[in-house]
Amino acid sequence: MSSTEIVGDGATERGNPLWWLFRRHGVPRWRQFAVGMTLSALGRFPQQAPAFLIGMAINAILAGTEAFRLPLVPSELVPTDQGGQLLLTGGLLVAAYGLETLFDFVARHQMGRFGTYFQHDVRMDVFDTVQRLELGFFDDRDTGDVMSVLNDDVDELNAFVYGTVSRGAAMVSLAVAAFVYMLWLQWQLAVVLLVVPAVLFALSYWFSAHIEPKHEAIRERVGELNGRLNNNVEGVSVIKAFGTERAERERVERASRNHLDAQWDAHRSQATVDPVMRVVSDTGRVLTLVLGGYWVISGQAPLFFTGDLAAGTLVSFLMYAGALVTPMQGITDVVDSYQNSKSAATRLREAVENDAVAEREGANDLADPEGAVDYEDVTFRYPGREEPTIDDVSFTVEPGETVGVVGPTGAGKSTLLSFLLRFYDPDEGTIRVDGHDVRDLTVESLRESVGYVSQDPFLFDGSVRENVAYAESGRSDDAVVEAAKLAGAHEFVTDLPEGYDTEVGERGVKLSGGQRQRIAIARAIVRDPAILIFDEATSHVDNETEVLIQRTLDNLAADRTTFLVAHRLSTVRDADRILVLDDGRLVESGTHDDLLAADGLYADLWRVQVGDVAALPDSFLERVRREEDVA
Amino acid sequence: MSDESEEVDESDDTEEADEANETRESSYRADTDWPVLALMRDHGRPYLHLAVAGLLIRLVWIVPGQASTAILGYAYDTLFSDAREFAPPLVPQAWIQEPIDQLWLVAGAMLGLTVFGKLFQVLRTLSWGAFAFNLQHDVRTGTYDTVQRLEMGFFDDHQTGEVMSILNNDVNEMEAFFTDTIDDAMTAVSFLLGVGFFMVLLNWQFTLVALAVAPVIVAANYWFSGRIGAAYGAIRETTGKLNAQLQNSVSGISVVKAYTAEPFEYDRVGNASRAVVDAGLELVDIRARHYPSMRALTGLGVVLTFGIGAFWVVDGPPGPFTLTLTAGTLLTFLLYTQRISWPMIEVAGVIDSYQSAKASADRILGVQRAAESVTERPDATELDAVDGGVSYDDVTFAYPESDRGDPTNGDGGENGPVLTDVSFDVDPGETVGIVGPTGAGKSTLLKLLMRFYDVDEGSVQLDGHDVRDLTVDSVRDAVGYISQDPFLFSGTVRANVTYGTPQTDEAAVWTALERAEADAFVADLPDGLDTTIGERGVRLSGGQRQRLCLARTMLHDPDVLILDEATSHVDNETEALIQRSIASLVAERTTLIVAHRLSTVRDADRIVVLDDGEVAEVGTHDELLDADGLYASLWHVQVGDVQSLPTEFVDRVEQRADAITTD
Repeated sequence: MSSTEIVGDGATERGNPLWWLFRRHGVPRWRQFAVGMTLSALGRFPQQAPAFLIGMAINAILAGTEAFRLPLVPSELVPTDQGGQLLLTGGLLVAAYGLETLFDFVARHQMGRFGTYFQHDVRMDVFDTVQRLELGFFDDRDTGDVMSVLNDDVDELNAFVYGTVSRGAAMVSLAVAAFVYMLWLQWQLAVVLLVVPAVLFALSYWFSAHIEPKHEAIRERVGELNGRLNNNVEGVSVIKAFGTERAERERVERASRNHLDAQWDAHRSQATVDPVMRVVSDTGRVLTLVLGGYWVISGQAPLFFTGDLAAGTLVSFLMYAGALVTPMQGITDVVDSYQNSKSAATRLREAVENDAVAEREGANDLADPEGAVDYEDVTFRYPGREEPTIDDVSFTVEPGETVGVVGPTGAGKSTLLSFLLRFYDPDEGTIRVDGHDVRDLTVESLRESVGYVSQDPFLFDGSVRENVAYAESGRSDDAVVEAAKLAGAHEFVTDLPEGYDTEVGERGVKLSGGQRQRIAIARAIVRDPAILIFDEATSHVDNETEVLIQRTLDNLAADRTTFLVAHRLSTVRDADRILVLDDGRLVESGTHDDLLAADGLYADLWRVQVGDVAALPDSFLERVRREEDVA
Repeated sequence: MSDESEEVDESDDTEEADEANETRESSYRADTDWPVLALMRDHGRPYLHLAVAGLLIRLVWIVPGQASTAILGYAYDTLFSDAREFAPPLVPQAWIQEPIDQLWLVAGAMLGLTVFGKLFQVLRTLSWGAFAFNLQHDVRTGTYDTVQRLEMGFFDDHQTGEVMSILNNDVNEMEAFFTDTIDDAMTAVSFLLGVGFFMVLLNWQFTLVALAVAPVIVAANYWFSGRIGAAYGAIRETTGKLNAQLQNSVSGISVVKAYTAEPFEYDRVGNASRAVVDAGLELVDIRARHYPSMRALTGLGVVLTFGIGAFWVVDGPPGPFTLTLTAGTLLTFLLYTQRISWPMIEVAGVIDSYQSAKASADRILGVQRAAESVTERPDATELDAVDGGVSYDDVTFAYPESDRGDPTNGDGGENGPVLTDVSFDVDPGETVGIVGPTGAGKSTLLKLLMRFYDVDEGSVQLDGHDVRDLTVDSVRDAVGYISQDPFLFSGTVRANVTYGTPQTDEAAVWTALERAEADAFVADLPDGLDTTIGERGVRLSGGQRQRLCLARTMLHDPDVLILDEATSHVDNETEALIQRSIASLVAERTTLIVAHRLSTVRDADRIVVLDDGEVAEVGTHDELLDADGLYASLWHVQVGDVQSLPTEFVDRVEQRADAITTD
C-alpha cells in the first residue's frame, strides 16, 4: 500500500465495515478468493457422493433389488454384470474421494493465501495510517490500545476468513449437496426430511441469542477479576505495609468465584443444548428408519408418499440425515466469529479514517536554515477543550540564541515548541523559521533542521550505532562517533561490551536514564540541525546526571538556536533568555538575575526550587492548590 | 451413525492466534517431572469425585455409545434382506413376530440409546466441567495468596506483567486443557474403543481389512503434527518479532515523527510482517495437505472395506479368511471406517496441547514454591507501646545474588554491599532526612526497617529491639510507609482512605482528609467520598493521589513514619503544597525522609548524607552547607550553580553515570 491513498473519507463509507475492508484489501486478490470459495463449495459434492454410491451398490449388487443407475450417465454405459458394477462403484468411490481431496487441497491453499495476504495488507495499511497521524491521536490513547488494534484486531481478520467465510460457506454447500443427492434418490422423502435441519437451525438460532448474554457476563467477570488481580499485584507494597493479606485473599476469591459462576452458567446451557440438538437429529433419523423401514418391508408407500423405496436408498438417507447435524451445530460459532470480526473491523476502520497531518500543496524545502525563530500571536486549543492551551504568544529568537522556557505544570511549555516541529498546527497566529511560515515548508525538511530531544529518551531495539544514525543507515561511522562525543556518550559507549554495536533497547543492555538520554542527544545532533529543542530532556534524570548533560549542552548550544523546556529551574539558569509561561500566556521574559529581581512568578518558582517554602507568598500556594485540584 | 459432534475440520485454525501469545519466557520453573499432575494433586483433591464421576460415566457408555450403528447393520440383515433371523438377546420372541414389530423394536432401541446417551453426556459434561472450573478457581486463588505473601524482593525482581500473566493466561491455559483438550481426547479414545469392540465382535477377520489403513493414518498424522508444530513455532517466533517491532514503532512515535522516519518504519514493520506471512504460508501449505490427506486415507479405507467386503458378501471369504460376512455387517463396518480419521487427528493434537499445559503448570508451581526470603523467628515477640526510637547499628547489607534490587534507583546494581557499617540513632519524635547521590543506598536503609529485607551484619533496632526478634506484622503495624508511587486501589475514595482500618467513621475520615489537605478536592468530586477512582473511575493527579495516601497513613496512625522519595514524582510546586500536609503528619512522630531533591529535607532536624553505602556526613542543612562537603556539592546542583562544583565531584558523578550494569 502506498501512503497516498490513506485518508479515508469516513462520511461516505459507512455500511458494513467488513465489506469495506474487503473492498479495500480483498478485491485485488479476488481471484484467489473466488477460486477458494468455489472449489470449497464444489468439493462438498464428491464428499457427499460415497453415501449415495454405497446405497446404490447395496441395492444393485448386494440385494439385487434395483438396476444399477447413475445420475447423468446413460444406462448403456453401465456394466450389467456384478463384477463390472462392483469395479465401477469402487472406481467411482476412488474418484469421489480423489476429487474431494483435490478440491479441498486447492481451496484451502487459495483461501489460506488469501487470508494471510489480506491480513498483511490490512496490517500495513493500518500501521502506516496510524504512524502518520498527528501526535494528538497518541496523546489520547495508551500504547496498549493502539497495539491491540494492530495486533488483536488484525489477527481477528484471519480468523474471519477461516472461521466465518470459509466455514460458513462449507456448511451451506454441504447441506445443499446432501439435499441434492437426497432429492435425486427420493424427492418426497427428501422434502419431508427438510424438517430436521429447519428445527436444528431454529434451535441453534435461539440458542445463540440465549447464550450471548452469558458469554457477555463471563467477559465482564473476567475483566473484573483481572482488574482486581492487577490492582493487587501492583499494590502489593501497600497490602504488606497495612497487613491486609487475608482481606485481599477474600476479595480475589470472591471475584474468582463470580467468574466461576458465570462460566458455570454458560457451561450448563452449552452442556444441555448440544445433546438436545443431537437428540433432535437422531429422532429425525429414527423417524426416517421407521418410515423407510415400513416402506421397504411392506413394499407400500406410507402416508402420502408414492413410489418405491429400496433398502440401499434408505441407508443413503440415514447417512445424509447424520451429515446435516454438524453444519447446523456450527451456526453458533460462525455467528460468534462474525460478530467478533465485525467489531474488529469497525475499530480498524476507525483507525484508518483518522486524518493524517496535511501538507500544503507546493510546500517548499527549507534550505540552509540559520535558525531564526519567530512566534507571532500564536493561540492554540486542544480539540475538545475550551480554555486555550497557548494564548496569544509572541516572541523572536535570534540564530544561535539559547532560550529557556519555564512555567508551572500545565502552562503549555511543551505545546509551545511542538508547533515548531508541526506536531500540531496553531489555531491562530504564525510560526516562522528564517522568515518562512512553517506551514509553507515540507514537513520533512522542517523536521530535518529541528533536532528534538524529549523527556523520555526512547531508544529503539537495535545497536547504539543504529540508534544514533536512526533511519539513515548511510550515515558514516565517523559522524556517529563525532555526535556521540559531542553528546558526552562516546566514553561509556566504548566501554560497552561491543562498543557501538552493542544492542540496546528492551532486549539489549540496560542503560541508565542519563546514558539513554545522551544517546538520544547524539541522535538529535548527528544531523547537525540549526535548531535544537530539549523538551524536559533532563527531567527524568537525577540532579547529578543533569550536571553532566548540562556540560555537553554548553558545547551543543554554542552555534545553534537552542530551546530548553524545563521544569527544574536549575536547567535554564544560564540561558541567554528565559521565557516564563503561565496558563498559556507569556508572563515574563529575561535572564535569571533579571527575573529574580522582578520578584514575579519566576522568583516564586525559584523559592520552591531551593526549598524556601516558608518564604512563599500564600497567594502562590493557593494558586498551586487550585490548579492541582482542577486537573 | 455419527454419535458425537466430531468434525475436526476447521476447529483448530483459530488456535493460531492463541498460540502466538505463547512467546513469553519466564524465570519461574518448578523443576517437577509431572507439573500437571502435581498441580492436580495440590488443588484437585476436593473436586476429584467430580472428575471420577465424569470418567465413570464415560467408561460405562463406551460400548452402548457405538451400538446404534451395529444395530442398523443387524436390522438390515434381518429386516431388509433376510440374511439372518431376527433374534435379539433378552427380548421374548413372541413380541416380535411381525416385521413391523421388529422395526418398532429397532427404532425404539436406537431412540433409547440416543436419549440415554445424551442424558449421560449432559451429566458427564457437567461433572467434568465442574471439576475443571473449580480446579481453575482453586489454583488461581491459591497462587494469588502465595504471591501476595512473598517478600518484596520477589516483586523487585519480577515485573507485574509476568506475575499477572501467570495468574491469568497460565491458569486459563490449565482450564482449557482440561475442559477442551482432555475431554476431546477422551471422546476420541472412547470412540476408537467402542468401534473396535463392535468390529471384533461382529467379524474379527474383516476388522483386519477395515483397519488396514489405520496404521498409515496414525503414521501420517504423526508426521503432519510434527510439521505443524514446527510451522506454529515459526509463526510464534515471527509474530513475536512483529509485535516487538510494532511495539517499538508505536512507543517511539514521537521520535519517528521528529525524524520523519515513517517510510523507514513502514519498511521495518513491512519486513517483520512479511516474515509472518511467509511462516503463515508455510502453515497454509501443510494444512492444505493435512486434512485432505486424512480424508483421502479414510477414503482409501472405505474403498478397501467396500471392495473386499462386497466380494466377501457375494463370493464368500477370500484368501485366508474363513468367517462369513453379511451385507448388514459390511454396512456397519463402512459406517465405522468413514469416521476413523478424526479420533487420530484429535489424539495427535493432545501431545501439542500437553506441552503448553505442562509449561503453564510448571510456571504456576514455580511461583507457588518461590521461597520467602524473610522468615519470622519462632520466638518472635509482639511490639507494643512504641516510643519510636530507631537505631542502625553497624548495618551491612548486600542484595542476594538472584535479586537485582530496584533498577530505578540503582541500589544493588553490583553484588557488592549496598550498605557498609551504617550506624546512626533517631530519637523518638525526631525528623531525619536521608540524602545522597543515586545508588547511595537510601531506600535500602528503609526497607531494612520495614523488614522487606534482613541485614547481613549489624542490626536495626526499634525501641531497642532488634527488628528480627519482632513479628513482621507488629513491625509493619508500627511503621507507616509512603512510597514514591502513591498507590490507590480501584474503588471509592472512602475504601482507599480507610484501607486497613475499615471501621473508621465518616467524621474521622474527613478529619484525616483535612489534615492531608485533600478535603477540598474530595468534596468537589462527583460523589464525594463514594467517588470511584482508579482505572475505571475518576482520574486523579499525582499530587491528589499522594494526599489521599497521606490521609490513609494518618488513619493508620503509625508510630514511625517513612517517606521514601514520597514527593519525587510530583512537580516542585505540588511538593510545596504537600510539604505542608506532611508537616502535620511528621510533627508528633519519628520520621525518616528519603529524598533526592534536597529542598524536601531542608527543614529536617538532622540530615544523614549517604555516599556509596556509607554515612558521609550528618548535620542540619546549615551545618552541612558550612562543612562544604558532599551535601554542599549536591546543593549547588540543586540550585543550578554548576560552575562552583569541585571537579572531583563532577568526575565521580561521571564515573557513576557511565558505569555499565550488564545483566
